[in-house]
Amino acid sequence: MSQIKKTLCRATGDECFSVKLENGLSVYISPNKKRVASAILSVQFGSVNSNFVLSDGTQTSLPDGMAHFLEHKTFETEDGGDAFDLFAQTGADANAFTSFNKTSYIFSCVDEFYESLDILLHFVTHPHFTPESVEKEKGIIIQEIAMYDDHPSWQSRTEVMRGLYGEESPLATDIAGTAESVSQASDEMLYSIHKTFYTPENMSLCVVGNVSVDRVIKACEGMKSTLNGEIPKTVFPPDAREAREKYREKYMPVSRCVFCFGIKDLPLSDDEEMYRRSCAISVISHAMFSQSSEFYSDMYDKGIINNTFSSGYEYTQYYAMYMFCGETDHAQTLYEEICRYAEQVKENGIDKELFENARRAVYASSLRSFENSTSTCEGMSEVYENVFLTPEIISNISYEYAMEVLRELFCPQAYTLAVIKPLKEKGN
Amino acid sequence: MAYFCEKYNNGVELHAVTTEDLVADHINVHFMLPMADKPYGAVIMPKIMEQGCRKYPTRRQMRCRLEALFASSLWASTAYYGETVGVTFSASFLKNSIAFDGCDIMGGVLELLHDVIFDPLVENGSFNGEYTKTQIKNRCDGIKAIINNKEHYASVRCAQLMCRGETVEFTCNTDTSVYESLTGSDIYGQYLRMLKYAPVIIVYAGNDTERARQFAKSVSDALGDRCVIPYSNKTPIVTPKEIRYFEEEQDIKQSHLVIGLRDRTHASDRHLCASAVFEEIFGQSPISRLFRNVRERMSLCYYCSSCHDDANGLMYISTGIDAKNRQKAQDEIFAQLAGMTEQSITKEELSCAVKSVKSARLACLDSAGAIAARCIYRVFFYGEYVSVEQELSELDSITAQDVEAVAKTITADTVYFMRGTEDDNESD
Repeated sequence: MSQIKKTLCRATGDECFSVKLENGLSVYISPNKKRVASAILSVQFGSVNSNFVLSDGTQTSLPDGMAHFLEHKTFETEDGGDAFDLFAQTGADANAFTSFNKTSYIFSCVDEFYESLDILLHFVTHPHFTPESVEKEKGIIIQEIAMYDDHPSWQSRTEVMRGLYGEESPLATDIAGTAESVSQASDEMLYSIHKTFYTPENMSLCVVGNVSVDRVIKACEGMKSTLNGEIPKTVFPPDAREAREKYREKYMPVSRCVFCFGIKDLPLSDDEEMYRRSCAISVISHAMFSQSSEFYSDMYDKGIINNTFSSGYEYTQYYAMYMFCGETDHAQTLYEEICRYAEQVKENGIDKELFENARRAVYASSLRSFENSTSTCEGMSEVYENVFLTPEIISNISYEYAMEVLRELFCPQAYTLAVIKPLKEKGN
Repeated sequence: MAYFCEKYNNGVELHAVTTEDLVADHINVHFMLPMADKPYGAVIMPKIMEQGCRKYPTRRQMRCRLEALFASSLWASTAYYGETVGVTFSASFLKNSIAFDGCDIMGGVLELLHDVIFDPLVENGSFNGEYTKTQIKNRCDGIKAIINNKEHYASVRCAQLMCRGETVEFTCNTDTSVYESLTGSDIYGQYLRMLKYAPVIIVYAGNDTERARQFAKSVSDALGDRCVIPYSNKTPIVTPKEIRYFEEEQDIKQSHLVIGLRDRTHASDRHLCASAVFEEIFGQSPISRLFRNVRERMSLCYYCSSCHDDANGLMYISTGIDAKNRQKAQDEIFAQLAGMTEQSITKEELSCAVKSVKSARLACLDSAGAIAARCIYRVFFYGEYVSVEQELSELDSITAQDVEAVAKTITADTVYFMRGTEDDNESD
């Protein structure tokens, strides 16, 4: 294995030990004295990885939603039971989720951590599917899809993704797929996906809690590679900064408009620089749009927003975007006000005192992420050891750098507004 | 984890739980009002008061002050405890040791909390008119927006239909006219009555108990002599004569079935540990009978779970299904509920459920907010704080008979079905 690297959070004293094992697994461990310990095993295989090229040059295209389908079925164990039964015996609370770029399996517990870790490492790497069990799962997943189809906030987000990236983009497709794509799943297909992607070289494990670094590493050393050649390369269409559509709308049974305004950004190839950029955007975002901002107060007092209004930045290696969400009766006005305010700030800059206050607030919030093992672990599964450097990175963000990022981010060509409108307004 | 209680002679109590190793502290000030008075003003009042006080009159000034205190949080809310309405002022803040500039975070937050409670923004015997208008509008918009989340909306409809004409109907009211008719002076009058008559329970979780004590004394001093009306921690027991069935339609894809049940025991008489184990086995975990049968075995849904409203002696079972599966799902849920009383609980089920509940109890010790929430529930219904250690020992002695005894007190009252009319396969 590689040498163990230690990263220290100077503000809290929390530490992260990271190492790449012989079997290719990347491991990140942060020991602490809290009662709860958490672990997240992530596979770099999410909904956007459905088109890929194997090391022999063969290109494969999967039906939409297969990463999510596999997540559901991975819990099935070799004896026909499921991993929840095993976790129940150790008292651990387990779950999983699939995002655009990965599938993550999680547990948290207060006791029997190493037993739970063994369960996690075993069930994720030892699949067991039957044609019958795959068939049965389809009914469950189709109901999950129906649930999200009825969810206006989720739909507004999907509409923004379609506007930003185009309907044909993997980012515009529901992570769970559609009833039609899900119906194409088979046990052979899932086994094949598992063998291709669920190999330690394509996984990372994050652990936070009252644990021993050596014991965690030892538990992971038994994982076997299933890799034949190289990890497949995802075919992901290159994209320009411009949004494909400026506006999208949809009618649903809602009481008032659900608003989602997305700004497309382009991810940087340098991970550290990208993280620094995201921290700068957090500070800018706080100064401009948090509850303590002039903009928020003004919009709130005018009744244009309420406490459902929020905004934030997210990125992976495939995409980056800033998004505003909330409920409003004045979607168009809100959109125009945000655009106007952004141009004004680009022109005049943020008041330096407000910038310093925002930086202090974001710094304090970053310390709060160490409040419990689960939130720290979730942060690590996204940005690894950078979680421990966040307070320092935020402290070192200069006003000039933040303003440069702000001017790049608020680019009107990269905007899409999506509005979910009440059915009663249809035809008006 | 030490605990102490101090009672002042004007109806103010302090309950302090000492924590040693947490990043943040938490304090709640609860004012307890009788629900029978239908104190609709008390629902709006905390939202007006958190907007500003005399010293920090605008929302923005309040938020900036909190940011200067290392992004501390201060908010006010309403909660329901049986037939009592709790108006709660809360604050969560990082420990002073985290401040790099010597800032007295705790001192600043407690001073602000005191100001918010005792020095609100008042003009001519009325709360600020703009704040009142905005918060009434926000409340009404929030009520109208319940329909946006269909799962939640279905639960609210079930609760309304089940509790019609009862005092606890107050908790699921969606009639906006009761708020729209309120004025700033009505709500200010409610505030003055609250100061005069409401018992006050202060709960602190943190390690500076001396300052919490000084704060409690300052609250007691500010309230002065008054005529406290003791709260009741009892809920009337309602025994359903027969199950009532209701059905409504919505233009949505997924149908929702919610079954409302009565727990014929006062919250204060309930065997809390046995009740928690019952919930774990029956419907609140991935190893529960509802999850295993309605979802996993029959593939009828993505979610099927139970939710116990302990304080009001109510329970709801919810599932999202295809309309054509309504009867199947309903029959299976009732069969599983009946099974809980038929000596069918296995040793393994019991042991796993006890382990899970114990883990959850221990996990709450990693969060000052969770410790405070646990403390108020215990103090309100049982008159005393019970340590987690005591509860763990109670859990060790739970038997299958204890769990069956809980199941026997639960009776179905109302079945609510929200039929999705966008469902392609709809046919009963």
